[in-house]
Amino acid sequence: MSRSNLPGTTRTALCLALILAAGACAKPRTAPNPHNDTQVGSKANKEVEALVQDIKKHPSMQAGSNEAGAPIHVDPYPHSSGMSGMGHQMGEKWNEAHSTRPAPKK
Amino acid sequence: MRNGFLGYKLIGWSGAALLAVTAIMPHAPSSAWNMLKTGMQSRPGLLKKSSGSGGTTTTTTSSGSTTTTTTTTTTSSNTGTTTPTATEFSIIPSNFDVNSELVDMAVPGKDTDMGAFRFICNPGQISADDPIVFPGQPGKSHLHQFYGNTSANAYSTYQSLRSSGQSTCMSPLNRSAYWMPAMLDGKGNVVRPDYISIYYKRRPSSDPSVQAWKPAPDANKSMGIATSLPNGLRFIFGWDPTGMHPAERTGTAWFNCDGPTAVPGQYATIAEAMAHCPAGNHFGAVINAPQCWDGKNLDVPDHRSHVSYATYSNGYGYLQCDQAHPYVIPEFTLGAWYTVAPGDDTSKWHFSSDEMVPDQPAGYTFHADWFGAWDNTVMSMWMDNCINKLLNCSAGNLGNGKGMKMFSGFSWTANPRLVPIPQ
Repeated sequence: MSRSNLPGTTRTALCLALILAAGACAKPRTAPNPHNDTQVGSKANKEVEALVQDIKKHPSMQAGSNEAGAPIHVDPYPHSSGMSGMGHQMGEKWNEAHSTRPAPKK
Repeated sequence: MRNGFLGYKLIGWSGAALLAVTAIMPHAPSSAWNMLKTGMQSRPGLLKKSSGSGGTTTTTTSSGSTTTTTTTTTTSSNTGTTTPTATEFSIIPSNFDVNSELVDMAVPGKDTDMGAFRFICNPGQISADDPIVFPGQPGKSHLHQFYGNTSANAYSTYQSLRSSGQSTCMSPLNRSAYWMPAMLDGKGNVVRPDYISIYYKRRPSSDPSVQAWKPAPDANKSMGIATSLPNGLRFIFGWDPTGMHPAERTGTAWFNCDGPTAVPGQYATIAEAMAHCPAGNHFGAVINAPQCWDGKNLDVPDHRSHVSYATYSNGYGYLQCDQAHPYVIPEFTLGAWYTVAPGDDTSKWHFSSDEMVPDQPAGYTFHADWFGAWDNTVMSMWMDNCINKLLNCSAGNLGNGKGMKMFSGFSWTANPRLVPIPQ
């Protein structure tokens, strides 16, 4: 008694199709990813813009407010170039590597 | 012939079995399939530490400071599973009246996903100091732009940060020091950002996903064990000059543009972002700090390995800390926002650290450092309310009817914006 009426080549083709279908379903899925660049950037911008607006409404930021903290002092000027004096030298190297950019004038 | 048919039958049944599994678990990720294919690969064991035992207690010392011992108490008491064994620094109370730095603010609404605490900073000092990498060695580093504690320098320790300095991040209640490589304009100047946005975020400690570290797959989608920021924790994140650390230790850094004619994006390099950021907009450099901690060390020799990033590498589609870093601390995102002014040649802009790898594009070496020095009372406020009650706290709002004051003189534009680098 025959176990199947299908010819061998058909059986082979069917089995291969099944395996291929299963393989396609089992295609590795990547982790949820960053959607697309614009969406990520826009979402981030909305968040920082909301923060900026909230800061503008902060009690300390209102005109004539006596709710602000003491003023602070920040010295914005660097007093050394860093890297134990190598910073300038490395800067030149960096500029050379980025040859489309003219080297800074000394 | 018969044997040949049996072979086909075997293949056929295998295929049918795979199809059946596909129907049952249509969203099974790749590793699930790997397991099916390889026959249940080994899974990581449960974290075996128990409360008050096990683990390695590491005493961390800082140059010129005394390390005191207080076993971490900020544990997941509601989980009963594990306890950090870190020896953290003793609490150093603020040496001023904390209430004098608080202001009334309405309790904010709920957030939908994660509890959030947001605030803003002005740029602080610029120096070639790095109290984590080159403690006690001023001028040894590349140029850094600091935020937060105005006294931060090469000699800073947890003790010195907690007891001195003002803060560019709203109030001295946050005497933490944040720093990143200075932005250079290629013409001999540092470009100072206008402001820096900082967001601390995490799932509330009551959330099932942060109750315990469990191997995947887990019904609660276990990320790890929620814990607070320990006193004295410090780390570097982002670009790793040694190239020795995998992605889960370097995190995500990217560039963006915000403003009226900006094209927002998640750009990989400064040049890509600048191409979409005409004058009159803000150029943003954004970087995420790690959210997983080993529970043992406040710092380590490479300043990175004690923390890591949660990843999807478990293959089940949810974020998880690795087993060696099972504690979930609030993750912070730092964004430095720079004015792009008319006449700027932004093709020359680069980080000071980019000069260490001149063959790479500008922005390649983006990294940042954090040395925590929060007032503990205030940190508990935003942890207990903003984070653990899933509130959407902004502008220093602490979620309990109070907020941090803003210092007098906060500026929306850097002044000066360009400062010369000494030759």
